[in-house]
Amino acid sequence: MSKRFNPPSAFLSGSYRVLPLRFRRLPWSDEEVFVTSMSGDWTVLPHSDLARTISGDLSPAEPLYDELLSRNLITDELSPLTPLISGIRTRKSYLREGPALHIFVVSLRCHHTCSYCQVSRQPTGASNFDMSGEAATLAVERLFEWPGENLTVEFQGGEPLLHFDRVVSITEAIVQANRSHNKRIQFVLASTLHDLSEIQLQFLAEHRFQLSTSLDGPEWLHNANRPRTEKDSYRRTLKGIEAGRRILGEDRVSALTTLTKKSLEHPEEIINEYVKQGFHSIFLRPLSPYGFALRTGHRIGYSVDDFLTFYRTALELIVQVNKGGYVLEESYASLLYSQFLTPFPHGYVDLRSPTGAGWGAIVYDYDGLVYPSDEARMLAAMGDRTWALGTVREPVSSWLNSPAMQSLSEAGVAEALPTCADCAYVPICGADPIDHYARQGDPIGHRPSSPFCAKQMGMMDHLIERWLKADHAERSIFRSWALPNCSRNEAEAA
Amino acid sequence: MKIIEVIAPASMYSKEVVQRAAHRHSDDYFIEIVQGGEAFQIRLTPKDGTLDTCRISLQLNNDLLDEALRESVRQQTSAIQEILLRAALAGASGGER
Repeated sequence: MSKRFNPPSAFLSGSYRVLPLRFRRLPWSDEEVFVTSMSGDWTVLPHSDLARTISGDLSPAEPLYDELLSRNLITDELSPLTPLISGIRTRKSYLREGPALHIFVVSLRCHHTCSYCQVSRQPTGASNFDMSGEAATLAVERLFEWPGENLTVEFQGGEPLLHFDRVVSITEAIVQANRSHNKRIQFVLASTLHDLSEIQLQFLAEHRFQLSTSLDGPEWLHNANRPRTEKDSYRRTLKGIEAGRRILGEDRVSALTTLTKKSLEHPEEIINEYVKQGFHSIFLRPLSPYGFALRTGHRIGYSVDDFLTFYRTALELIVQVNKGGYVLEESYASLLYSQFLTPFPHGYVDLRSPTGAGWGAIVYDYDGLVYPSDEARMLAAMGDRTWALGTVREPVSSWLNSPAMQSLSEAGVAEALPTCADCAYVPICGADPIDHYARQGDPIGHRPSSPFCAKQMGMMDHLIERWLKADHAERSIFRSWALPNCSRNEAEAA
Repeated sequence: MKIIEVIAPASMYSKEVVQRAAHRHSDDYFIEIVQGGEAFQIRLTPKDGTLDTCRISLQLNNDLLDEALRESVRQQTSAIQEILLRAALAGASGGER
């Protein structure tokens, strides 16, 4: 009797193991799936191939086998797990240093009356809404209790220039204290930049401040969005931008735009304004459901679908601007492409898991109360102090044991949340318990009806679709956004 | 309001798979899941009368298939997932340099 042997492939079949993976059918191609590993490596493949892979029917002889091995989606006895562990570790490396962003709210006073303002602004003469010297001193003491070696200290308001003395005293106290701590500290002033004096500019230059301002578009739109009694917000902001660039340097002034319902009708005008003013990045930022924006939402607000329609149009216009030779990146697309195209983490606290609130950012409010995010501060200003961590009189350790921090821990890990746990985008997305609490009344939230989720999914779907359908020139543009130190030529070569 | 019914054979889909698939549609529909005999009956009632419901059955069947695949992945990988996370995030509390 002759013996019959199986072919060699039979001995290899089934010798691999599926690694934890997540997938999503592509909205524009139902039979294809976007598949991600735990560390965010990704590929697109036919649904049938995914099913075969999970069923253990993939042959090592197939090219797909090596593709999935390289993306950390399967493993076999010859493939160590070290690259995957390293990838997860790198992607989450922001966890190792504690909060890096520390926001000091030096005053709630502001000379604007913006209908979409997130904060509970106060009139310019209301100095009882200024941060006191005692609160500032204690906040600086708390700042140095955190373990991080790289800190960003951001001054916000209201309008921080209206209480510039406090900006000065806090900055000097931090510089003084840091002589023994030796941390790397970047100062940021989030301001309208209105009425900047030469003395203020010299101080900001001396401490290498980054200026972050708001430019909502052309004059008529900016002034409509950001009313001052003098009706000259646009002119004053441009004057501040020019002065900041002159004294601090071109790269020290950045701007972002807040989008009202009116803005959504004018993507071209907004983008052209940024080009006209010499900016090379634009952050198309939708409204947040807090503060004054909540009360005026019916008038200035819009749906996630409306925003996504605007965003797709605007992104195409920005791509065309780049193809025309002017370098202009959209900041949120840059952030997401950096996550799709590189293994590195990002510094954006709104898109982290565990949540950036408390884990990545701390807000020291004017009255000495401390919050895990600006949004938590807004809710407190509206009368809901659920998310207060404590006061500057208490040590950081007591904030970490607060009920608010406990809630953030329970609801802030996207990989453990219903629906998010299975989402292919979760390795590069984040959890936002405070946003879900504000919109849905529950920090965990209901993802099928979550505006946060709809916006994230819509943008990621669009950026992935654009990437997959892009020609070489477009990919080089997106790659240069994802790799900020990489020039367009280098990106093209890649 | 028209109720849409989808049958999910219990021989193919676990209760958890059926729940996860149905949950994905809980924004637009009220969901009722009834287990009877050898199948789950999933009843979807549109929350809004203007909702386009013509593809919901096809969509839900795809979701059932996908959730079954996800369940298979979970069963194959839950142990190694924990090991990987422990290895990757060791020292993430900030104590390690």
